Amino acid sequence: MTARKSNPAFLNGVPEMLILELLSHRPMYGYQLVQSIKTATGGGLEFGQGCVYPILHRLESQGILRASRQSVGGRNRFVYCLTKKGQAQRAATVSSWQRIVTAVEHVLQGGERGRTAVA
Amino acid sequence: MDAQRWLEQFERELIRRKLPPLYVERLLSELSDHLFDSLEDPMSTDAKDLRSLVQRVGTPHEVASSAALEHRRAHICRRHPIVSFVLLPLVALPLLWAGSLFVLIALAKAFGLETGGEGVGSAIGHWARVNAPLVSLAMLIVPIGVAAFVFCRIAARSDVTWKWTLAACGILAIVGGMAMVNIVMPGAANKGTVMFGMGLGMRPTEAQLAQFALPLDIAALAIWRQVAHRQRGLAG
Repeated sequence: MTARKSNPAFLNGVPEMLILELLSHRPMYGYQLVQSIKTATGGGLEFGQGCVYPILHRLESQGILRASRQSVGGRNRFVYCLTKKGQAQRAATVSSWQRIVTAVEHVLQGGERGRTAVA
Repeated sequence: MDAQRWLEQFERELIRRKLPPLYVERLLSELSDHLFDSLEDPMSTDAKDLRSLVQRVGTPHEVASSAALEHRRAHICRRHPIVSFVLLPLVALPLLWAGSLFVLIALAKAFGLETGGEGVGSAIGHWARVNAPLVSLAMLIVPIGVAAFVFCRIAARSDVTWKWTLAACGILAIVGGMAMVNIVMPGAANKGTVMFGMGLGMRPTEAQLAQFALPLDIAALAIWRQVAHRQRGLAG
């Protein structure tokens, strides 16, 4: 996903993690997912909404998501859900993210200088 | 820019990036739904301000660039189509032939059909001598068929254009069509031999014609299925 100007470059990969996390709760179609990201982040992260779809398609072709056509709200839509591989990927991504956040917070809070925070 | 113009420009950007038609249709369908959902959503502030909506979705150029990038990232075959559909078939077929030769020799040994083996004079030995031409053909044509099927599957799964399916099967047809094998089963007085070679005379044998035609037939079937799948996708 192309990050908007308001987001720093190091957020690469974050939209993918948010997609996996939100789809782990329930299957959604694209617009629902974009709205969920908006709500869940409290509008704190700005992404080009259109760029969610190419990510969804890539994740689908990698077997991380499964798309099925369903009639929702009078329209025939592609509804996405996590596969088993996707659930494993979500767990791994979230775990890595939490490790990074802990490490960065440790540094930002002036923790032990000169010692490695990330194992 | 209104939603319709945004979609038209987006389609032009996708086509300019030579993305597969099926993928373009899918993106257009989903982005079209997204834009109209935004406009119809009473809770969305985008409904009131079209410019804001387009800003949030991204410009056609931005979204198409992202689509092209993700499409290449999605599958290694998309990133390296020449390696996957031109070079790999050239390597895969000789490897499969070597594998089938190995299986053939192993089977012959298992039934005692090697030179001087006890199975040479048995009913199986007689059957093998009578059907040696058929076994030769199977040894060549089965790997060709398997390779063509596998490359067509890879092409379909990685959503590359039909030209890559045809390229892979065309190479398999040319290489496969040139192959010749001659199996002589061991008898009471002669040694068993397997001769393998590549070549094409002015009059190809029937076996060579079959070896040439098989991958092209499989490719035609795969491309037909790809087109039918696309039409179903558009209709659905």
